[in-house]
Amino acid sequence: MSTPSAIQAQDLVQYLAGLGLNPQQISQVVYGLYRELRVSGSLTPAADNMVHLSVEKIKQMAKDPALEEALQALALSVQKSKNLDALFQKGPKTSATPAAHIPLASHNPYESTSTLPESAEAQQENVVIHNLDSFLRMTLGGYVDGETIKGFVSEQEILNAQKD
Amino acid sequence: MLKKIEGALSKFWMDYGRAIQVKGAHTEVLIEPKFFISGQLNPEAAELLVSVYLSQIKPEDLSRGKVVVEKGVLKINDKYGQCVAEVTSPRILREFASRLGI
Repeated sequence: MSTPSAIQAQDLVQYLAGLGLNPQQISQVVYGLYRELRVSGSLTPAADNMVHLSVEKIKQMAKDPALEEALQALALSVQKSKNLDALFQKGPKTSATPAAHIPLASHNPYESTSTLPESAEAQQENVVIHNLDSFLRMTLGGYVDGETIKGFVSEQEILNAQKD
Repeated sequence: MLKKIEGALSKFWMDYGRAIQVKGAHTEVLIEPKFFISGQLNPEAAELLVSVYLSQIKPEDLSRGKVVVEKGVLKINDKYGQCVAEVTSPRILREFASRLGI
């Protein structure tokens, strides 16, 4: 099996299981799919062979906008239904197919959902930012100099920068 | 520029946020918000920034108009009095009002 050039949403569970994560840890990661993944340590050669996935690949995966969108939809779907069934449904982008050897069936979906963060959707109305430039300067002032943030206002600019 | 801002947000999150750590057999995965989603600040990060900012507001800042609360909406104003953000989170409003006794 060669290293995949792009990882599809439906392959994620399989890859995470290949990394040695247990079902609950996998579900936590699936819930954090719209989050940044930072991997420390290194894979053993056996683990690396099993998943054919490098740490760099995982980092890239977390930054893939198309995958991000699909995974976020999947996470929201699971969170809304409070059920992990969506992970096993075949179909559009929001589905994921577990590998046969992954013992996900033994996992209690309700156990992990209680500790999950609120979805982006649920929080969307709580804070409305009218001026991102000023907002970041006022709230993040001690962490970055004002000049860096100055003029950082455009949604398109952020999208372009994320592509780089 | 985006990298620097994301780095600052990451540090901020480590200081004030809820870092999630997933330990695998050979790999440790730290999960933090993706700070910009579809070109916008992650609402989760925005809430944390607002909460920390408001925790530093003093009563005299209210009289200066840095923060205005009216009709269940909290407005954060810049030094020119322009509204940069509006907060409607009941939890944030409740904590803010309780701390300042308003």
